[in-house]
Amino acid sequence: MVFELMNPAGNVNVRVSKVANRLRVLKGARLGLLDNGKTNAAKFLNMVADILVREYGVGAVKMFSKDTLAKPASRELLHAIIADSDFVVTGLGDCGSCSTNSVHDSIEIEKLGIPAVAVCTEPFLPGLDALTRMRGMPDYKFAVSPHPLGVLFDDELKGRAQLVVPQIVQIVLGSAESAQRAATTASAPVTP
Amino acid sequence: MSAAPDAIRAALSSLATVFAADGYRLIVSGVGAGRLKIRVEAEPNACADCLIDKETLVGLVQSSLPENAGIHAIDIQYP
Repeated sequence: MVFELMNPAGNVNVRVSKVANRLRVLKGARLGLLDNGKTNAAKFLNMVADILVREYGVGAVKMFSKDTLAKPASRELLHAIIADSDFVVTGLGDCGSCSTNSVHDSIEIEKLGIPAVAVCTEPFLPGLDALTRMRGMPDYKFAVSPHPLGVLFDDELKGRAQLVVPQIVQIVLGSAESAQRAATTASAPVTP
Repeated sequence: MSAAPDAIRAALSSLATVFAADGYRLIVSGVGAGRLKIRVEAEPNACADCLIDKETLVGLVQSSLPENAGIHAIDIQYP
């Protein structure tokens, strides 16, 4: 039996970072989507974006893609994302490698200065709680959906998108009250 | 001195459920002298692309162990 010795010392003294400043409003904010290539990921992220635009007045939406779901996004890609976005949604996280890497990407985006929300499914939450500590951002929050997402049909996927959008809004704005205000403001009639 | 194997297994039980969701068994196969041995086995239905990489697993284990676990080295065996 062959074991590979791993030195855990590098994870002992993790520098703790705070999450980025939250947005004050969603209306007009630029949304970046980071598709990790998982089945249904781009479709689901677009459904989320449609709701955010329609119900919260989010502005421009731009989709970015990773080369592989099993590794973190490159620094070049992360910098390209934050150059064109005020907040970011990453996904899908409905397996071990894709959920840990989506949360990793979102934490790195937060460290670069803008809110980023990874969408992950329930079975992976214990690992993700450990991951946020490991990556030095224990206060990081992600949006949670029932499992799975990758094998759903469109109508089921839309339901999951409806479920996670309020979580995304609350995380990006920082409080339930702000999220409620954003929904109310976006649906208010436009006055000339 | 290392924590008792049962305490280590309890601390890692939630991580084991994460691996199980993708069709893998995370097994604590040995604890002693500050060294923790973990073996990951694939079930027949395991998702090959879904397996968390070794370096991330080490960090997750480290973050999940109690501070007084007394583990100084982690040995990982992957399928």
